[in-house]
Amino acid sequence: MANETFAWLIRFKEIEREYRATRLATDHLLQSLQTGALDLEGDLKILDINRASERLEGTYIASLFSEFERGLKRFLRAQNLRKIPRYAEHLINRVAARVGIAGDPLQNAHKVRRYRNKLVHHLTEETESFTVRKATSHLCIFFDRLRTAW
Amino acid sequence: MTAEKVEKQRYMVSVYEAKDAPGTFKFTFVPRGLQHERGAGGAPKRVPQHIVQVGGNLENPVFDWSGSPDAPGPAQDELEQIARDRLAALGAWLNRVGDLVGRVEQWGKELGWATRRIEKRLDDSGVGTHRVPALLLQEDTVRVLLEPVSRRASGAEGVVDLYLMPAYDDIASLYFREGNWHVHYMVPGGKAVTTIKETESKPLSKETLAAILQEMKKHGQ
Repeated sequence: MANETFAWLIRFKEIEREYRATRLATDHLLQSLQTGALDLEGDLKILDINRASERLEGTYIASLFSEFERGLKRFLRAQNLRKIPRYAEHLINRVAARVGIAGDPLQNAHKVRRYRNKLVHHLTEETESFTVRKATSHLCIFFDRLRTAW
Repeated sequence: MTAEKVEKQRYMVSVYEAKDAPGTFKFTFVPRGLQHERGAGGAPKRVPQHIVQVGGNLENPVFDWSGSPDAPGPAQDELEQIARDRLAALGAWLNRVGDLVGRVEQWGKELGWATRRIEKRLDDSGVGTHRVPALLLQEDTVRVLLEPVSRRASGAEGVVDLYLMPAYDDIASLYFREGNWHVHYMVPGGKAVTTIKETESKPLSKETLAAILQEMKKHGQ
């Protein structure tokens, strides 16, 4: 595995770990509020904490995908490509074509992309949902294929 | 209370390894409690900042204060001791991880796995961003990554994770406690637990590693 590819894979896993730490902290906070062990300060309401908790997974999937896109762009630049696709769909396809990624790894990267789009743009279309763990897994499997060239 | 906790009450300490000079660390000390003090006329006072560049080696550091915006004055010995303690902690961690990676590398080879070391950058607020070795083990299509994760954890002086690649699935965590590495391994189909730390713990040995890798081959292929 090339070091550059490896560095990006580590970064994706770090985002997953950050999510798990934040999830743990948020769950503890909600539990403390519900049992009355803790009071909120200022304007904060339990509703705000609930909303943050509900959106946590989506927030981290967006962050994870954003880092994935950044890594793909960096890869294409390192390959001296002049035009780097702006849109994620084209970016994934361009990298897949260059490295020879097809089948499940490609399809699953697009499924995560569609789920990210749904979360970020509040779309109503039916898409498969992913946990942060599953999304990390799919994106890492795709990105790992870059190690043959990077 | 550890030395690191005591010093934290007096100074905010940040540390990083210079990119252009590996092995050289820059420590920045900012006294706590001065941020909100105001001088005559109500303007906030500038908070002193003491910066020292530390070269040499971890056991025998050399201090250079020439680039510090504020001279450390009488606090110099205290600040240098803080830096010494942090570098000693970093040295101990690097030795601990280096020894672990070396042992697993050797056992892996003896068990017929191909191994490859990879350098990883680790962010640590206590000792700064530094580089540690990680280890890839591969047999046929099964790849496992031994990755240092943290120098400090609750009840442990180091955490290193074992992952099944490329999906980065958690397999096991290794915690350094009481002078030894202990493996917490999630057996497929075993008792349900919330975190990998709740799983049964065994001292790390070649036999423990062999059992885990064997299990990975069964589930990873």
